[in-house]
Amino acid sequence: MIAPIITREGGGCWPQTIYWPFFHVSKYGRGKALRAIVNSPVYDCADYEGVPLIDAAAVQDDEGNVTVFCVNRDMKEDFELEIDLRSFGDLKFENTTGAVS
Amino acid sequence: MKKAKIVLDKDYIISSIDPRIYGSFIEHLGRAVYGGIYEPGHPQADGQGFRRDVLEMVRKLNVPVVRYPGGNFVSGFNWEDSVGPADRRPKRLDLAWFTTETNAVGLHEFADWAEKADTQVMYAVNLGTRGPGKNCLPGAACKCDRPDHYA
Repeated sequence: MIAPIITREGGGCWPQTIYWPFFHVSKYGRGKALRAIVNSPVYDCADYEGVPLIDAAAVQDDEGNVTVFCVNRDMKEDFELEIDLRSFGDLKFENTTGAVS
Repeated sequence: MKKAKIVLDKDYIISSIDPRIYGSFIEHLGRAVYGGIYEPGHPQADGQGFRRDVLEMVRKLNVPVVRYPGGNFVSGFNWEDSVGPADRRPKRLDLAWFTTETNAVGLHEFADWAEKADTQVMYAVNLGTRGPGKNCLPGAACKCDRPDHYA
């Protein structure tokens, strides 16, 4: 039940929803972890105050590709997200969310 | 719309990422092994009963290491039960999950699966019902070409 792959006896196998986050971080989250400075509105929960609504982790791999993994914790609203990448020089943007390869 | 900003700098490095954080785990629990990675007679099963379709999905995850065989299961597991001729392996009551363990999939079978899955095994030892001493031999059994000698 906690496994990423579900099987049917004598039948097929298919990915659970949790397969994909693991697949993406395993595929793109290699190299060096970067310190992401996040500036975001916050919310309060039962145990903590001031929790950022945007949570992020970032990686630069050995070929120079930069990947940002990001979660919007807001249950109701979308965000406009700006990412400052000036120090990396020329980068081309490639949105890989949802892409399967 | 709400706004947020992330600043990244190529020199603000936390650390190199150890690929082993993308490791995984297979336990003798539920349908992880029997009915999961292993189902002899399944149309996709290979000569050892391991499903090729499941292996393909596992390989896509690029997992460098898999912990095995437990978890709670390993705390009552006697590795000697799982090596040697398959028809001489005892069936045991698994005290963790109250199921019958046939030992059809044992150390060597799982090592073969790991090779097919392009991953390594992090072998967990039983410190529940036995102490460190009796767990030392698996290392020898895995390298030995006479595994039945230790059964």
